[in-house]
Amino acid sequence: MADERPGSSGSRGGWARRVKSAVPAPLRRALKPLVAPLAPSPVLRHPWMIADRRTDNAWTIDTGERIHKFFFITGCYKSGTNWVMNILNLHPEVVVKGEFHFEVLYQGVGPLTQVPWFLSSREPARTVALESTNDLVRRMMYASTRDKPDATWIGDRTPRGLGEVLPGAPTINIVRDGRDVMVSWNFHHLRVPDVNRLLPQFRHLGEREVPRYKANPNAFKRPSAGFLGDESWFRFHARQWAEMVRCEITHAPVFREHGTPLLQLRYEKMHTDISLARRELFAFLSLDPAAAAPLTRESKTLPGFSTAGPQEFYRKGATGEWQDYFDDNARRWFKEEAGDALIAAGYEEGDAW
Amino acid sequence: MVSPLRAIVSKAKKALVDAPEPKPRFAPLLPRDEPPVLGHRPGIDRTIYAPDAASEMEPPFGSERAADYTVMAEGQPRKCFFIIGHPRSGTHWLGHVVNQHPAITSFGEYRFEALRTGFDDLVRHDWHACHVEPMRSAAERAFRDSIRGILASSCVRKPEAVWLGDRTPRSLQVYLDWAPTFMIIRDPRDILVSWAHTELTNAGPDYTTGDFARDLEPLRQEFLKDKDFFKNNPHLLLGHERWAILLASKWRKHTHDDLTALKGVLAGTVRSRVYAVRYEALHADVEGERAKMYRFLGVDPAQAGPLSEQTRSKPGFSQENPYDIYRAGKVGEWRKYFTPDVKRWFKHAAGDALIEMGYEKDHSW
Repeated sequence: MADERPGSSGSRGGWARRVKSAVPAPLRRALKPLVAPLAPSPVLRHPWMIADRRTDNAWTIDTGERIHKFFFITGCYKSGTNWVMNILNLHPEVVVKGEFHFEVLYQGVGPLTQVPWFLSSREPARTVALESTNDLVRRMMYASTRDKPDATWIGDRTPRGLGEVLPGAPTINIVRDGRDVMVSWNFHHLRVPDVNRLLPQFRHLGEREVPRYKANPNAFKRPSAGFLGDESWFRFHARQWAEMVRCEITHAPVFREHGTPLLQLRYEKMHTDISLARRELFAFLSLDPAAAAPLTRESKTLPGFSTAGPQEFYRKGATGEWQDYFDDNARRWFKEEAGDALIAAGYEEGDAW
Repeated sequence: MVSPLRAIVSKAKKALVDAPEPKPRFAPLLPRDEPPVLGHRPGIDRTIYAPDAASEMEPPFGSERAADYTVMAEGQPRKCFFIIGHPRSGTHWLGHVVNQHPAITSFGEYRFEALRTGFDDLVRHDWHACHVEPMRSAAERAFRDSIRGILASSCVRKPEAVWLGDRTPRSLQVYLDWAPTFMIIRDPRDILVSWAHTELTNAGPDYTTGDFARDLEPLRQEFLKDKDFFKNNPHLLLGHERWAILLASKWRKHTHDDLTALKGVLAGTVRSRVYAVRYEALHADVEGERAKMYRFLGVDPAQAGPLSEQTRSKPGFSQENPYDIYRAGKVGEWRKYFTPDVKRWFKHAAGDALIEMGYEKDHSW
């Protein structure tokens, strides 16, 4: 049976291959010197391989026709990474296509290049492994630009902690009040089309809460509704938010030390003055804001959402909403799991909230 | 007339003989009654696994079948190959044996499975950008380029080598289509003896994650003080029921995965060409076996250098070192370490797979 996996040699068939296999082997060998120069180069067969043509830094490529640069948007889930992506996509020279989650790849590359008894941790294999990982990051991001091939800036928006993927690549990190994140996360999980998308330990909760929510979403506009009332779910997600904040606090100085451009945004500030945020974003990528389309409700680039439908991915986009959803338990759990991160991020001065 | 005392003793003896064997307290990783994977016993009954006779031979450079495992290094085309097997089954030794040929290099373990896991996670979830085309194809192609590139870098250590190898103890997974793969197989009871020594020397991952320190740490400390501790107390090496069952079960799981993959190779759904070599056969006739392995790669056995103790390519070691990865290199050593209890636990956890692999005919050993 032929292997139909993409990228396997079995899926690279086509008329040329069929013609080739029809020619007897001795004749094929005799013709090879004549035919070989006419064969398409690997770059033509796999157009994303052009992304290997890096310049003097790991985040810029020169395709011969134009220069492309890579950048990253990071931040906790439900913190506005989509919002930042939508704003940037208004510019004709920017394309950002969803979440690549390169961090899972680096979880594999890490041991490969660091465990002392693995050969890939020694030179020259280590450099080859790291550079080929950078190649594949660029290739995959470049492959995502088909519908906007002229874009200069190619971005990845993955909710994750701050950290460098392509060394030196500009990065935008957005932070939102963790308590509002919890409320948004709760509704995000209540809306899942399939409870198997939830982490295994929370599926039983989903099986109970999701159908109830679908039947009557308005009943969930109250403190401790849905997942917010479950201690294990609440603590787990509060810890995740706190880890992301700590990650930013740890890594932002490293970015500065390496000279890696970093734009740190606040969801709440964007909400207050979106025009300023828009200018900052385009200035960060050295782009002319005048060339970008205006912010609109349709492109989901203005603060908040007029529909505010609890069933939609872009639910409300509000700030300070947590006060309507946190009961005493939620406050206590959050303080215990993420109180220090909330203070470190500048959202509170102490525990008296 | 039989004395009352003798009658009591005789009755007690009979009761002991008739008593059922105590049931092991720990479940194996896979259910015991699972049918043999290849549908016949023994499961490994051939040397070369390929979808058809034509693909058993190594194709020349430039052929379509060799394309995925061919790489340019230092301006010269070279080919990649793999050595795999269960940990402690002789992958190191096999690597040293094939390495004696000037056209072959295999210096150690690259552990590409770590990279493969990262790639699989990258494309697995439908909300990841790489889950869909064309990013998915770009990812797969990039993974293969990474493997080829990393292996190509190994030619600096042996520039004349045409074959660049990775020797990693792992189960059969295809990283490069049709790349030749040597799979070494060893009697799992000998594997357990060797594995237990390594785990106890290093407080290895199974020892640590299995939370065995509470029960086995005193033994480990004795062993670290006296390298002959288990030689003098062989019943203690695998004498902990959960410990023995865990190791046997893990071997069974590994073997089950390998047999399933080999079944796929024969059916043509797993794009690999596998040379299965038994540790015991290599031990008995290393010259004969290595000549066949060289031919599998299409190189001339006559050009190979001699085997020697210095290159660790000869069977066994003149000096045993219980702490070293090159410990003893012996066949059938398990007999010294397997008490009746250990045998019972092993049969419970992996006895069926032992038979399927052809090391026993039934459970009466």
